[in-house]
Amino acid sequence: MSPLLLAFALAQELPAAGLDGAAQVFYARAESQLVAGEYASAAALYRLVLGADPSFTPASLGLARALEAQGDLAGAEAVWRSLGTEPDAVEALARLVEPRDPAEALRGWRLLQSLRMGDPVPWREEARLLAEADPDAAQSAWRHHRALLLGAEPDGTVLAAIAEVLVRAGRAGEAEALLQEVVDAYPEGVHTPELRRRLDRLGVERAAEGVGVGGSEPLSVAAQVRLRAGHQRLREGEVDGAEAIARELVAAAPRSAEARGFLADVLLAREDLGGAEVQASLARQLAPEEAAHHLRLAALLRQAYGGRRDAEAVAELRDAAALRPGDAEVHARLAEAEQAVGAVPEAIASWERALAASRDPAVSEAARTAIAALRRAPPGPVLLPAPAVPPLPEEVARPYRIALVYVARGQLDAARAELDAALAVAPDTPVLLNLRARLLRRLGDEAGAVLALDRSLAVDPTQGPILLTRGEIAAAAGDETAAERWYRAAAEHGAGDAHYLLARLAEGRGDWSAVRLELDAWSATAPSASLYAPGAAALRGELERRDRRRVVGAVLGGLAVVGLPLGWWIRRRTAATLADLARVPEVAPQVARHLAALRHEALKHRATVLPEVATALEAGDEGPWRQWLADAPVVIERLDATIDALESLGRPLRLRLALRDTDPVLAPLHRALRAAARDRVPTPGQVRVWSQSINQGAYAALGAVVHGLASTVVDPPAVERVYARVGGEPGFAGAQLPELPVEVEGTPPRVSLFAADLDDILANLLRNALAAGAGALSVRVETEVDPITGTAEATIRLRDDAPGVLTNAMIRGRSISRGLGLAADLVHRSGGTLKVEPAGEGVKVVVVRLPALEDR
Amino acid sequence: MKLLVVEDGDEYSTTFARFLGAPFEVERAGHGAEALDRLARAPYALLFLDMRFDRLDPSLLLGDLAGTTERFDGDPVRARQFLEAHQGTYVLEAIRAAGHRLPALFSYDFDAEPRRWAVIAGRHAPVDYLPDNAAPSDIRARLLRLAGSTGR
Repeated sequence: MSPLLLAFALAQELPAAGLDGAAQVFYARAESQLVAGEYASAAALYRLVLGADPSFTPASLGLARALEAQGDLAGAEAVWRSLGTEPDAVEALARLVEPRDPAEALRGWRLLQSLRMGDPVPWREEARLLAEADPDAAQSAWRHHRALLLGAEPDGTVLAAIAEVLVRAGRAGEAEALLQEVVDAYPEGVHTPELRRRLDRLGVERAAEGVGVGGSEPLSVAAQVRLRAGHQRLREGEVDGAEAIARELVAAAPRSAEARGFLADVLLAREDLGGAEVQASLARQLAPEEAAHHLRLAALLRQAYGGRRDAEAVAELRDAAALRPGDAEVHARLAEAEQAVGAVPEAIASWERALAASRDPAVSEAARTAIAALRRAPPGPVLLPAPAVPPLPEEVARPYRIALVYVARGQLDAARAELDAALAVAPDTPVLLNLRARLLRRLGDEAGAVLALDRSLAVDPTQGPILLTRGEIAAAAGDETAAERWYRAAAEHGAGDAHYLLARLAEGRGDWSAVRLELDAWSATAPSASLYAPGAAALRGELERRDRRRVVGAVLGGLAVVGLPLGWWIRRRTAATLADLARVPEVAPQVARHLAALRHEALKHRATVLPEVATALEAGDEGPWRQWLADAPVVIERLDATIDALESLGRPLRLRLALRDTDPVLAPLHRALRAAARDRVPTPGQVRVWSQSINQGAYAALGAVVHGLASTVVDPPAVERVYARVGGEPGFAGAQLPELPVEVEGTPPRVSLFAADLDDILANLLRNALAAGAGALSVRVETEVDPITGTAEATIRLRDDAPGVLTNAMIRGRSISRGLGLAADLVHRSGGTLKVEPAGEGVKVVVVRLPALEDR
Repeated sequence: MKLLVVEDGDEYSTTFARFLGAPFEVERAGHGAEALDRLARAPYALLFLDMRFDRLDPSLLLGDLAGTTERFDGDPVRARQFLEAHQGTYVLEAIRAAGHRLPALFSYDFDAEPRRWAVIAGRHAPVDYLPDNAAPSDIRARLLRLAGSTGR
């Protein structure tokens, strides 16, 4: 088609019919040039058209667009202004002047709201322009925009802008409601993901406002003493006394995480789960960097809500694992919780971390078992081959199959509806009636179930398993006569297990010959995987025991003699020991405290007289022996209390401790003390043996355990390991951290501190320095000796160049960062000190002194 | 042989009175000041020192409480506890400073702390120590040996 003909054809369809022929051709050419991007040519042609007819608005509009496209904004603006209230011109002018004069643009859009009634765009533009200055008016305009869309999705960008202004104005609640309204109305909308993201963010920010950040109040030394007393009472079961102390501590230091945590423990002991959760949550908020608070809260959430809040427990445990990455037990607990919420890959990863960190064979074994189970692939779906002849017509089989699926899913009412549909078609079908009976029993309708079974058996009285079920229902109702009748019928029809149940009935009657007969019948006819096999074996055993008692009572006596040592031997071989308990870091402080008290209070001052007792006995003097007998119950009572307390510590850790019987340290001590406390005058030699066992063997062994538990070596690997852990924390992700030179003068000192506590002290100091912007760090470890007492202190000097002022007055007055405060608390609790020393321009040295021990 | 037992309780003096027998004549001082007073008034052959004095009125503890408080970050409670835990050494320090050179036996097991013992022995000789689960016969043997020697 020639350009001329094309122009003509276009001219027929455009509002150029009023133009003369040449102008029409020029107009058509101008439009095509505009479309083709030939703006100068288009503008020239529009001018020719306007020369022929200055009132031809489409040409003016075209001219203005062509001029604007060429960058001649002033020319375009002049043309649009000349068009007065022409809607396209008003819109174009509003867009053009907006950067220079938003108020005029707003007036233009408002004019368009009248000129183009029903058009949502001018309202949207008004909302956009007003969002920043007047969010209320913007909301109103946006609602007009939304209303005019007649259900189509409104502009989410403008809405998001309005919400943002509302948030900045402190009206986050309104913003959230506005966003929620649109997200709910257009769940699949184009803008909805972005609006939902903003909504989620607002929710997070709102929740974050309720989260207390930092600021746990340290307990005074006196309060710490009270806290220890409270823990002791709680361990001893004095919950009232413990609660009184906990509440006293919370009243005195309401922002102490330790006090809140202890109150939570007390309330948990009272089974006040709600109260315990509140306190545990407060403790975690006050000291979120303490793994123990996360663990406590996680345990509560898992215990109190039947699995409903396991996801929150997982979050707490993940925090705890991040804080205690080397703690196998924490990873194991996390893995269990992740398994509970179905997070299988995460659970496998957590079990693997537990396995890597574990020094406890029980935890390692649990981890390996769990990993294997979680990785085990299930077999594919199992389909029964189709029977040659369908047992049920399809109109019955289909609802029956559907009912079975509902039953498997626990949707019993739906299953019942399907089953009723099937029974309506085939009311006397045993398989349907049997399923109905199962359903009704699960729904608690025992009478209805019995009716269904009886109806089923009336149709087919040869159903052995159904006869057995009927018998069990009768037995459960206490009707043993009917039960026996049903069992007998069941046995006749191939239900071998009926013989076991008949045997039990016979046992109840004391008819042991019938028991034997029925058990023999059961053995001959019961299915290979009978669920009654254990019961049958037990009953058979009882039967045989009766036989043996009657015939060879003496042999039975012999067996008991053999069995007891065997049980003792098995117990000895399988029970955990004090050493196993001492390997669990969480309980190390308590174990050390109990053992130290036992040594000092029970053994040192009371059992050391035994050699004198022996010497006196040799001289025929029983006086010292009688004196010892008077003291011995105190020592034994103390030992028993210590062992009970240690075994209590082991129970939550799943350590089965039989310390009195099997522990290589405590069992000989226990035996020796018991023997030495018998009211029968011993030989001097016996007393010396007991003394050796108590005063040398047990005393030294307990001392070694305490020493090992409560001490840690401060060496470069210990510091470097903690630094690596801190550097790996999320807060320092991607940061270029300085190297940490660690220098030790002389032999690395052993400090009187649990390993976990030393880690926490170092971690808090290093984290604090890094967070404060230290660009250079170094650690120097020395040993200093007090000339009067001879006691030594390990001095750890952490030198950093982080900006900021830190003085000893600030440390004492607690005007310090949270991390430093925590480190100071731990140091003080360990009998040490924390000070700061200036070390030149912009450099300071935090000095930690900890009591040093000597290597044994 | 007069033995001065310095302890805050009476466990040692009671046990010694019961088990040591001749030639020992046991007297007790409840704190450092009392020990100094007794030593100033009468000669003793031997000194027996408990280490921990946590049952004593704090005002009777020997040692620089103010300086120790400063050492323990300004905490007087911890300072007092430190003085209590090591009071035996402070008592011996005061006794030696007063010019009494009698042999001393600590009831404190330094077996596990040879480095610390070297400091104390070097400063306070003649001095010895007992393992803290020592039987009275051990104590007796150790006291007799110490009375005839200059300590370890």
